[in-house]
Amino acid sequence: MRQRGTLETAERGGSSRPTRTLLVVLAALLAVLMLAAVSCGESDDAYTIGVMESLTGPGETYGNVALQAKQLAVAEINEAGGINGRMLELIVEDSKCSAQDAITAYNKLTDVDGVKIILGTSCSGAMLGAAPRAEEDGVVLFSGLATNPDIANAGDYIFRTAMSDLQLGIDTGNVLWADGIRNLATMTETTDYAEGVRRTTVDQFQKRGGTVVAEERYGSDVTDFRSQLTKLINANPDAIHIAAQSESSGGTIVKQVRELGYEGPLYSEIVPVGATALEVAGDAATGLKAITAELDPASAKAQELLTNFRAEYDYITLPWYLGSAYDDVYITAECLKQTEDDQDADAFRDCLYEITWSGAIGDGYSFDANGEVVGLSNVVVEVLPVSERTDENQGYKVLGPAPIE
Amino acid sequence: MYRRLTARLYPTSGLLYPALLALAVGYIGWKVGQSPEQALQFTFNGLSVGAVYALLAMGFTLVYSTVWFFDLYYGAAAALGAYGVFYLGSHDVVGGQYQVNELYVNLLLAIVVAGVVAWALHAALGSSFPDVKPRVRRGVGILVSAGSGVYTGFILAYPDMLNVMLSPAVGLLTAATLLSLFLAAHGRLRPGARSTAVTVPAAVVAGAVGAYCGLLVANEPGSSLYLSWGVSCLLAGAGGLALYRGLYVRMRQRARSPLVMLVASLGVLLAITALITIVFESTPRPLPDAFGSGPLSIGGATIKGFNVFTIGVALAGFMLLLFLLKMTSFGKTVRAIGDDEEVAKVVGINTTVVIAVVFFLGAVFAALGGLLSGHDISIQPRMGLLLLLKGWVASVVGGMGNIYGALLGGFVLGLVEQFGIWDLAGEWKDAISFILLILFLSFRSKGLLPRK
Repeated sequence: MRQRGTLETAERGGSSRPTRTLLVVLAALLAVLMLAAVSCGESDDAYTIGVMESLTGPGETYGNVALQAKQLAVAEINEAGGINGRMLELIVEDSKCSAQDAITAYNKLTDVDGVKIILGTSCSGAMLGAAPRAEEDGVVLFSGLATNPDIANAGDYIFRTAMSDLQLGIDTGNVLWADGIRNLATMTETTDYAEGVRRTTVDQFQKRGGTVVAEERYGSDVTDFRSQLTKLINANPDAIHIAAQSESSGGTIVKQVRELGYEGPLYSEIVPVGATALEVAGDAATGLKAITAELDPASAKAQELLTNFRAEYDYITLPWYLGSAYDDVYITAECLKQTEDDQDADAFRDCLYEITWSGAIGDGYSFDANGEVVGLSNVVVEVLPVSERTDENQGYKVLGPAPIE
Repeated sequence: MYRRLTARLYPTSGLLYPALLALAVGYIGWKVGQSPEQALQFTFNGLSVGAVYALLAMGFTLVYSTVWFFDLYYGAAAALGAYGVFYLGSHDVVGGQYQVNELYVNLLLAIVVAGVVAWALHAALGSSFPDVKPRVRRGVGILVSAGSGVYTGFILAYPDMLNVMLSPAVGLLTAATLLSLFLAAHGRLRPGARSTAVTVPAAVVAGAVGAYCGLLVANEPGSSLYLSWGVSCLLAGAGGLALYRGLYVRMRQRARSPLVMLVASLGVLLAITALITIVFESTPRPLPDAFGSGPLSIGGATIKGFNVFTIGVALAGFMLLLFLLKMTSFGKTVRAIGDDEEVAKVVGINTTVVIAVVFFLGAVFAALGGLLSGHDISIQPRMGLLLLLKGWVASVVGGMGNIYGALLGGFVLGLVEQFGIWDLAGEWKDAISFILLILFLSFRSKGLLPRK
């Protein structure tokens, strides 16, 4: 009874209520100010840059390996004393290999975390989705993995160390022609990356005089390719070219095409020779030729990176792209060393235009006026039989550089 | 009235059906003439996927023709069957890169199994031992169901020792099967002669054989994969049963409209698909390698040994279902419920139990279809919905509610899908199966083999 009375008094004490509200508001304001002060203090200590990779979904294999390579580089840089004594810090978002998710991730990184430099994305589709925003906002988007040719014209703030599919397509077309292939069948995943590879490859192949006798496309959620492969095989091609976005589908296609009794040569880009794809395909992948960027076995930097990566994560896949993602962090660190400001995207961009870098993926490469990397080249690799595949050789041997016209 | 109406709406429907059929046969004949090898290859491909469709259509037909509503959980059961095998074998897939084992998944499944066992004991043995006190009966029931839940949890928690964990179950099952077979045979040969003098030695022999089988399994790690098939089929079946007893029975009592059930089961399907995506991620995954992955070359075309096996499983499943429905008293009760549930109840059939068994069986068929298709190609969370739709189309094509039709419809759908994309791009495959569905619904809604 007495309790009830107290409650009533408190409720009736109208005069004290505004004061209390004021106090609460003041306290909240103080808290916000303090938080802001803390985060300002943090940015004084560390350079903060964003990372967008496809950590789940069709691009998860290379998205994860790229992220791990970047984290390795950051750990090395920070262990060696940071950049001008300041640490480097990554804020990671999952761009999921799609334009929509990349935009979500981009908005989060720029609006919430306030970063001006973003390393990523892993997928061309995601890159093409986020690039117009980055260009408009004056945020640097710097990818080690996205290869679609359209990215060349995506804007002034868009850079990449990944070689354009244009180059890959020209190299692939030339390899096919040089190997005596005249009638080609293509199997392509309907994504920006895979379509880009197919288009540029076929253009070059036809320019040299080849004919495309059959072409099939598949969506990213398809798992049964047999009917489409049957049609390709029945067109009697000299070779089948595979352009896949996900290692799982790339490996499955290779497996199913051999199960259907096709014994002719297979060509592809990097995805179907990744560790997961080779595991899925097993012995069916033996002899598959891929035209891809590959780390130079003679490069000490590259070999050291592979050793360190294996020591840290106990596996290796897609070594060139791993190296590319790794180099991106070192290039970023070098430019931050010069600009001394992770919020000054313009100075960072100018630094990238000026820089000439020697890293894991090659010596003395630089960026042209489109932000495209120049000074790197593709090679032809051939998948080894299962018994000869080791962690060291990634399951394939390098045959040599792609022939030129 | 209806017939007259349709006749007015489609005055040519009597002619159209044979005309369409002739067109299809003519097209296929022309194509076969063009390239017999590709036709044979398409036939093999079609039979391989058709076998999976047929399995799904059979289970679907069994459930549908008993309760007359579309149970969409059925699709989730297919995905669960496949992902169950992946869950139990993930340490074997792609070098263990995607290994998953979540405590809460194990817990959830253990609870489902315990609940299902408790209900099954209650329903099956509730009135069997009138001499035993109810309190003792309840205690034993709780103990047994809790024990089976804990056992399930352990099996799921140590998937790399599946063969060892399951060896007691295999041994017990073998012994029990042998013993009951022997006793049934003995009872038939010499009616009324059942005595302890026969039963005890038989039990000893069956026990010894069972123990030997258990030992054999425990010493053979390679058997894990095939044991995981059984486990995931049983789990998917238990899921179906739990859903029926826990949700559908209540809803059937409250709302008579099948539409309510349809929406509820759609919710279940979406929820399970989302759960699978959360636990396993959305990317397609391969299942561990089964046997028969090498291609067999026949007449210029190839087929995998595993696909031949799948076709065999579909046929065996069909025979089993046929036997169950036509030769056993269980089949009679199922058909009675399918004809009129109220009357079946009135004549003393325990409809809840029979329908629960039907749901269990249906889910097992779906899980089997899902895991076979998973081994053949690969698995992804959305596979449940896709397989459900294909199974449904197959049963419409074959004839709703007819298991002969389900078998036929599955293979027909598989073949039509293949031959349909001869001149079209492969992306049309799904569109073709749904065009087939629409054609059948509008011109021959009873299917190829109508239910009698």
